[in-house]
Amino acid sequence: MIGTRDESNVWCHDARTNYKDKKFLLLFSKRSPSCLFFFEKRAQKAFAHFGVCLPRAFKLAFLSAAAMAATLQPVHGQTDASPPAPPAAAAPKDDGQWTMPGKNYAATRFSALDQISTSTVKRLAVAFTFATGTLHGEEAAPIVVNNTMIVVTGFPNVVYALDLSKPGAPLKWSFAPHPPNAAPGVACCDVVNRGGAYADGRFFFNTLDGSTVALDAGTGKQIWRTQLGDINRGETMTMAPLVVKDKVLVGDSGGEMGVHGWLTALNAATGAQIWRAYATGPDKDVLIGADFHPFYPSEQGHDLGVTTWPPGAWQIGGGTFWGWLAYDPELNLIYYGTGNPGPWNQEQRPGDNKWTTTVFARDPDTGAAKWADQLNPHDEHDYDGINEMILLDMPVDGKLRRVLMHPDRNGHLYVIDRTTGEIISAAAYGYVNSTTGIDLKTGRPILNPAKETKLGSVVRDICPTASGTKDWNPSAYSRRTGLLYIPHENLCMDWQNVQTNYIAGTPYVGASVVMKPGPGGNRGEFTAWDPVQQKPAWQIKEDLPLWSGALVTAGDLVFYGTLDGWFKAVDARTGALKWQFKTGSGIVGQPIAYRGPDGREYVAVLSGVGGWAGAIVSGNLNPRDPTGALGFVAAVADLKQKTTPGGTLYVFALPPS
Amino acid sequence: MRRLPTVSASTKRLARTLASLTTAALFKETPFFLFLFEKKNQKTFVHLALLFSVAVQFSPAGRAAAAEPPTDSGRFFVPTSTLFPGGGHAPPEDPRAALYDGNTQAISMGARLFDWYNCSGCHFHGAGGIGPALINPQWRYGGRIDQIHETLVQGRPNGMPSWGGKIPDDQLWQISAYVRSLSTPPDAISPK
Repeated sequence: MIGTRDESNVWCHDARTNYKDKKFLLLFSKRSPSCLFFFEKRAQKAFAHFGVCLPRAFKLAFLSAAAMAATLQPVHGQTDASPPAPPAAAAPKDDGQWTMPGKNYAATRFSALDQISTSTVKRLAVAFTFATGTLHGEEAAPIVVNNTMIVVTGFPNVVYALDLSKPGAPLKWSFAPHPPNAAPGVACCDVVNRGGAYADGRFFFNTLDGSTVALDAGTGKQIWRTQLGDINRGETMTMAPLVVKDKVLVGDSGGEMGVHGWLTALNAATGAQIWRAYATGPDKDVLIGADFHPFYPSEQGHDLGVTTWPPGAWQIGGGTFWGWLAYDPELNLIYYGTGNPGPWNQEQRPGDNKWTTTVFARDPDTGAAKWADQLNPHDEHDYDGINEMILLDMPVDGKLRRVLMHPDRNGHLYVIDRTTGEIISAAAYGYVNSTTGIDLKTGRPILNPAKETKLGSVVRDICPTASGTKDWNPSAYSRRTGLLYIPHENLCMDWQNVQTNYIAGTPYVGASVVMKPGPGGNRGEFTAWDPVQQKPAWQIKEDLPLWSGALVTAGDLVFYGTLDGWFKAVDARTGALKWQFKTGSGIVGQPIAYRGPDGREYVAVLSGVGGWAGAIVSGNLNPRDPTGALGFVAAVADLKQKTTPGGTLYVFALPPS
Repeated sequence: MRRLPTVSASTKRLARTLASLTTAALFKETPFFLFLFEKKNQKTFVHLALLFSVAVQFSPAGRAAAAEPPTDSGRFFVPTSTLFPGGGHAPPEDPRAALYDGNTQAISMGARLFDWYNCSGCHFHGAGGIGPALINPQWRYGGRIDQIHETLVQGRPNGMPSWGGKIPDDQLWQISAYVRSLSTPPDAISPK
């Protein structure tokens, strides 16, 4: 029965086996996790009271009553033996292009191209390069569409379009948005940009000073530009937009400046704002309404975005969104996580501080929240929730479930039911001592009291650091191997809370932090994670913290870069190093793969050290003060001896045979 | 050149400016400082500000400001460039500088203010982060204390905010003394 494609059988089977499983029984008596998907709140309760597998007729009645958008079609004909796969609607057949940083709405960063494989990669060579003209961190993913590659640089956010159909990929057009020179003065962690997105002939990107721009992707002419942020309030933008239907979804940065974080939907044709969902404040500002059905009781209540803060503090409480969105077209839901609460000094903001560090599911048409999981209530360690959400359909206890995978800053790999918000599992994927695990009954981390931050005393050796077991740099998932490829860090920190004052447009942090290598001394780690087994399949220890994204291909190769400039290809099944190339500067970008006009497979990545981890080099910081760059300089005090700043695009291919 | 103002007139003017700056900070600019000072502390602070404005009349800074001629704009000419077409050199340092430069009391006050006004949020304890490192001996806009002071007052185009009119000038000098001390060998700093 396990893994059957017949939904009704799965249903009954699930209920019965759950009863046999004592661990699951607890959950089941409270609410039926496997069935929640279909039920309204009241129905759930009734179901829990029955506590038995309902007759089919009864079930169908419930289903129609629930009237959920969720479809009941069997999911992609998987069997238990086959690894989890992204939903087809969110990850359509690969067309050889790369139109959004996550590759598809499921954010798998998987390329179906296999010309460059474990056996051919040894011949991989540079095809062409392009200087970005900047000396700051290049975090963007190159976008490839219509035989054109479009790249956004870090500040001053120049956009370059290269013609892939001509030898050497000459410049086709460029666009300089000229953000004000003062903008870098309010950007917390180098002046990066995580890239743009293509849809319907337009290229969308954000500028550091908080504007969203739409360009004609063919000519580079500006179609519209909407100013959303105000640098005099510390608001910047660094994230890559996601285009869903006719909307461009963008969020702000400035969690270290006391900004009021938001996610905003703009009309893709005009740039007009359609909706904005703040992360803190009254329900009407957070777009919490009648459709909101959070899974956990602690997320239920009126205006929690106000009442879980000291009076008024929510207005300067952060909850920015500068990371990654995913979209499930079948459920018509977008997923993303909000940033840290401000200030870092937790003693200045008693309460849960909702809805910071929270995973939200929202209706992209209205912005209305459907469910929310606050992953780090009353965060004490700067564990933003902005990391990637990867959508998979995955067997859990014999039933295929629609999940999202989220490697959080707090060191846990959350597997969350994306219809209900139920946290199915949350295993640690790196060394963690700030918590002792995630309580699946409440969804909340179990804090380690010894690692709670305090005013006036230095709390030592908190793991992971403020930058998390993993920061923004996205992982990749291959359905061929069933593994999630996570580039991450292995760092710990000493932390002292200090009283801080809010002055608009200046940092609002209140913590003195010093970072250091984690257990074993290797500061970086590349983990291939088996989401079904909830454990690593293999791991690579890296000397330096990993700040680049990952790419996995059907050639069973995983690509990632290091802070000292190595671009590596490893065997997706074993982790064995198959190829590497030393680029001109440290790599903090996102590798991608595409099919060129000549039919060959190409792999592209931006080199150019920077970002929070590389700020010591791009900002010429001095490690004699270990608290520099929010404590990161201490962890990479040697980086200036290993690399120098300067952005360059590298594109690789197998030489023509 | 116009006639020098008398010592007392000039001192009074400076005191008035400082007092009005402080008052402006407390009352006119309320939203800006709302979170800086809790309500219960404001009264104390007003008293302190009044005391401060009186004290400044007798302070060495007050006297020094009057001892040298101001420029037509009422402020000293502080270049940030080392290029002087046709030759020449930087004009003499603002005479107020000597009262703060290397003064350990001013430096320790400045260190406190450096945190208070969130300077440390960008520059940390000298390593830099959002803003440049301050413990490097290289200066973008000049490393003389009056040049640092000028940088604080005016701000700089690549992200340094302008603090003129937001922070009392005496405090800006103290912060400048602290900033300069970060890259100064310890034996060059002595009580004055």
